Amino acid sequence: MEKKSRIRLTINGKELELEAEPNRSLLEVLRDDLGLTGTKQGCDREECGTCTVLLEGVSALSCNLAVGMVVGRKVETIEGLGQGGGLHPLQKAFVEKGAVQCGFCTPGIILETEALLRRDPAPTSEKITERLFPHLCRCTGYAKILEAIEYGARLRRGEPAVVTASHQGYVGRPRSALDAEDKVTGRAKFAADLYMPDMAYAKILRSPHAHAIIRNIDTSEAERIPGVRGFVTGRNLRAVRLGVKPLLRPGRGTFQPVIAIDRVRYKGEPVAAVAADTREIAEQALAAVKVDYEVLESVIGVEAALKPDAPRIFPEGNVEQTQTITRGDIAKGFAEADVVVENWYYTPFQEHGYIEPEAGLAYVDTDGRLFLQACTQFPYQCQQSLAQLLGLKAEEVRVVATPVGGGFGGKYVEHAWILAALLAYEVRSPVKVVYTREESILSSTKRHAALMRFKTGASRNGRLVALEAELFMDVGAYFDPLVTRYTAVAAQGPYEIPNVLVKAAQVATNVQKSGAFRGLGGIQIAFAQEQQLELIAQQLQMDPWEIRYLNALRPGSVTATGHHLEEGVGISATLKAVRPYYEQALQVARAENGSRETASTWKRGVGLACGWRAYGGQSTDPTEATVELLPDGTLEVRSGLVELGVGSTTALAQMAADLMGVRLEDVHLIGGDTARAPFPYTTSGEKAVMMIGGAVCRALEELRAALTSVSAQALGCRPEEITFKGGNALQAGRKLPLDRLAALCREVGVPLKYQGAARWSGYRPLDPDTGQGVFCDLYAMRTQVAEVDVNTTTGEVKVLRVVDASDTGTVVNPILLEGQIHGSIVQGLGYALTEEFVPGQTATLREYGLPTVLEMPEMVVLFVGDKVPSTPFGAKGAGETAIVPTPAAIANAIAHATRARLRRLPAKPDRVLAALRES
Amino acid sequence: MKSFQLIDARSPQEAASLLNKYKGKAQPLAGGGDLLYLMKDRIEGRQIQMPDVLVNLESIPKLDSISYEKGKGLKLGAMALVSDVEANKTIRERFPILAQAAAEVASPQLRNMGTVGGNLCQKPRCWYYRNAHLPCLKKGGSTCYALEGDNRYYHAILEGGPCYIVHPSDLAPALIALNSQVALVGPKQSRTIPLESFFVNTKQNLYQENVLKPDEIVQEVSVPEPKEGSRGFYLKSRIRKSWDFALASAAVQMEIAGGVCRDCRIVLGGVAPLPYRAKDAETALKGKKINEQVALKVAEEALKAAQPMSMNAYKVDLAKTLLKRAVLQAGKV
Repeated sequence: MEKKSRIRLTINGKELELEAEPNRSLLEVLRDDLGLTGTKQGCDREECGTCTVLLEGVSALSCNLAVGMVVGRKVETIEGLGQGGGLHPLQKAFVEKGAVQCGFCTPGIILETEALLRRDPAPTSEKITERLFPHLCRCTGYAKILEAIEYGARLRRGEPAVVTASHQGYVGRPRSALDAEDKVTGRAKFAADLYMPDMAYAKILRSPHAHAIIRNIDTSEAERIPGVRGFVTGRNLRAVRLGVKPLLRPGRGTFQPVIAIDRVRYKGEPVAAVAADTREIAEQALAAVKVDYEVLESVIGVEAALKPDAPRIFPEGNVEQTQTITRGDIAKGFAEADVVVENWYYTPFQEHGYIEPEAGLAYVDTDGRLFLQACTQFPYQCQQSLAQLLGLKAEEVRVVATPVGGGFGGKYVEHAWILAALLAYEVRSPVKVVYTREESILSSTKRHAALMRFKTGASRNGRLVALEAELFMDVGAYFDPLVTRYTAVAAQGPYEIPNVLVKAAQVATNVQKSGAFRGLGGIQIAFAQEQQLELIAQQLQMDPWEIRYLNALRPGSVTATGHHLEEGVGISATLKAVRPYYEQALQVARAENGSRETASTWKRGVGLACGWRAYGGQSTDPTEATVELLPDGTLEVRSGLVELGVGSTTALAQMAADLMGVRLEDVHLIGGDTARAPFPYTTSGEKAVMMIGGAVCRALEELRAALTSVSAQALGCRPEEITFKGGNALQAGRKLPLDRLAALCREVGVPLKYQGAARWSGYRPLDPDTGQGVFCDLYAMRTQVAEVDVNTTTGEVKVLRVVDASDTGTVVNPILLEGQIHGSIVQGLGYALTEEFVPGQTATLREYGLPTVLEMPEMVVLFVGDKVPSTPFGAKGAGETAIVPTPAAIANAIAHATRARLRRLPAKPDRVLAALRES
Repeated sequence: MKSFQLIDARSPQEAASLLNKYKGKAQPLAGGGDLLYLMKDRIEGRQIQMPDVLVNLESIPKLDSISYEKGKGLKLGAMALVSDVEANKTIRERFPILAQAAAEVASPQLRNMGTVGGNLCQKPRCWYYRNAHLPCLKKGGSTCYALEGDNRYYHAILEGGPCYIVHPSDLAPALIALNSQVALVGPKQSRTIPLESFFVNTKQNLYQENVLKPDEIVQEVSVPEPKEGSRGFYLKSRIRKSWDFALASAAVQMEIAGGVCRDCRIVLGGVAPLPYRAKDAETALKGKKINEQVALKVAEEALKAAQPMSMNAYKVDLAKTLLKRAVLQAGKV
């Protein structure tokens, strides 16, 4: 360790003298030594912009500044903005404009903007994007951030704020996210921001091999290093049941050990975890662990795994056919078809790319209970897994979800915090784990890569008559058949097809496990099926819009699983909504391509794609929630909901406030805490509003009924005369405040706390051989139009505009939903063009290629579709699936521009040039 | 991060003496953008050791200066910020190719920290080299993983072998096209050499991309005044529009009279282990009237010797396209 020096710095206007090693990063010193945790660590490799601070008023990345390099200089952090009470104008603008989702990248972006505005109070939009592009945001798609910056700059120049008129009611109105203010000020405590006295740091040793037998692990030397508190390996855990259970059966599911036992199946798999006094000692300890591996041949990629002589990861083989869907007569269907198109498609892994790396802090409390705080989307399963692993009762383990700095399906049950908790239990002191970016990319779950064969038949008039699809889903190193059901169900697209045969298989390969990711199973299908439709339309010389409209599902349609659709079938409405945009885009493209010099290497193209997907979390298990009227007349809502930054807690509060006639700020939400809200729920699959919303609404109905009868008695009127508004029970001008009503209830012994439940009532598990059943009561549906410019000599693709029309029913909060859709579109764009995860090799965000603001297209968001009778307020989830059609729409647009068809993603320059040569 | 001792240097000579004193264990620290990154990842091997001592160049007065004297040209201190090069009015007017190249470097924050010297001395972006777990040839191992592996983006199509890195600098191609000289300072003596001969390929030196001795630092780059009628252009292609290294880049500086190229220098970036001077292409351009056909011919000549690897043949076309466009742009009157 380097010697400490006295270092003088000015931080947020205060002169400080501190003792620190001059080689430590400014970021680490700000966070660990000074408690200024508003400055976040996203990559520690100057690639994400999250750790931006102001150094002498100029933006600088604190991760790559040794503190010795900034001696005597002035540093400003997010905590220094808006000092003296009140929000800084930029902070205010970010809150109001819905520019804050998970909030992890927000402080860095606000400081970057502040640095710009100090020199140029009225910057052009080019100037703004030029400053913003090194800042990665995975949630917002950047659009609302740009809006907030422009608005914030106006406020900062002293221009008056735009005051929106106050409305009656909350549902349907744009509201800022409830947690936005904490996030713009840096006050929100993410998991990595938690510190405790005597806290140890966990580090994880990972397998350098993709496939190997572990002959021996020797930690003895490492254990002797001073400052090492303890180890967890597969060996000292052998006595207990290991693993993380796959969610759905039938189909083979392999327990994934939280730490390798006798074999590693992917590069990066945890082999040993250590807790030590400091990060450095923990790293030294890992370097001293001796692991004896017997390296085995490995299999990477579906194609390799399908070969008959491929090395086996499991004795049963690498491939398991898990879901077949059959409807009609496939042979007859193709016999009747006038056109048949058959192609293979491949979609790669996708990294979630949340800017917050996995983190958690665990300790054993004075009652002997294990307490874990972590950025998990699924605290309830963490609790179960930990109880199982340690042989504890569920109530002896408490898991609380911290604000999640981007989840997108990637922060379920992670090795990171499970191992930290196991270590804390082992060494009996607080243990904190924070993944490095490399670890996060290497070991976290990915979107399933898919190899797909689609054979599609249509009659001369454009009617789809037959679909045969073979789907091979790369599940990674451990079997979990869940995804095969989503893809199999989605395979037909949102279209009527009378004769269908879909076969979906899970394929194990020696890479990190695949898992949930926005649009699970839908995005791969859309990429294949929407290009198939395009090819059929071409052969029939039909308009791509017409063929989709002609075949679109309608109320009364029957899906390939035999599901009779009645409500929430808005695909044709979304097609109609985009039509004017589509036609205008085609006109512009014709004009552009015509007017460009013949020498021009740029070609304009327009692509259309639809998408659909079943909502997540199918089962008949109910989702539960409680509501309680508190003595002060405010409302407490407890549920399993975790705030991922998508605004679902805000939407839930809006619904509750309207139903009970209280102010939004009088709704207190408690969620994602296994002790205080013991209602197992996975925050995923864009179902929060429908399921938790449903449970809360049911509970509120009971509460309202009870309050109605008590207040009717008190006011001496009939119950039908009672309404709830402004925090009162009202009757003909008379009012009874809710706090008084709560007191009355207690006097007469009427309970104030009620539980509600919601479930997918129609769910019938799919038959594994025929696929008949009801996978989900409802499906999300939408249509997108993408406009692109393609450079035919460099292979560069620019997406100019994406128009998205979604079948939403009632929109609970338009500004937050728009933000979700923007974010999803840009994630889809990244998947299509720049993002690529090469197993075992991709280690940094730059190599991976997350889209930046420079890749962001103009986005037009349209809400259409009728209210859904069976859901709370008639709302349908619609944020997540905006990712589903985007890659397909872009691929269709590239083909429209150049005739080059991309059957493999991502469309990086090399691949676009190759496709151009083929065409 | 590898721990280190940070020592402030007061003059270039003192910096060189310090490097000499801690021979083999010390390295100069400029903006730190690349060096600290490498130290965090512990990119080391038998032939590449992480330093124990960093000699801070920031404490040297005036090493960040940018000066211009009419007729004599431009002098860039090693610690001149890339963002200052980009914004400097004289450079924008008289050496536009250099301002263009500076604007293509990384991101605005990194240009605020990054220096001219650091940009020239940065290590390659081959992802096998940058993977701490792989003992690649360049780190002293026995295998170049790029040969059999994924060599689509940051690997050579020219002058590759036995290691197939490409030089990532944006400033170097532009500065070489401008016929710059670089001054190097050692503990006892200084030397000034053409920037072009500062760089070496991996056949000449597998472990280092330039001729700096362990106790030398870059002090200054001097750029001669371009001749009357001289024009330049820099173009770069990358995966994302934002901060990424060049898949290929092209720097063209030429003197034109009456639409005819009198003299020129052409340098490609991102295609070879060093900034690649395309002399055959220069010959093909000299004395010619600039038009589409000539530009195409120049591009063909430049890539004539290309030997792409298993997955990067497209970079040949890409480099040709860039060069053709750069020639036409520079030739536009």
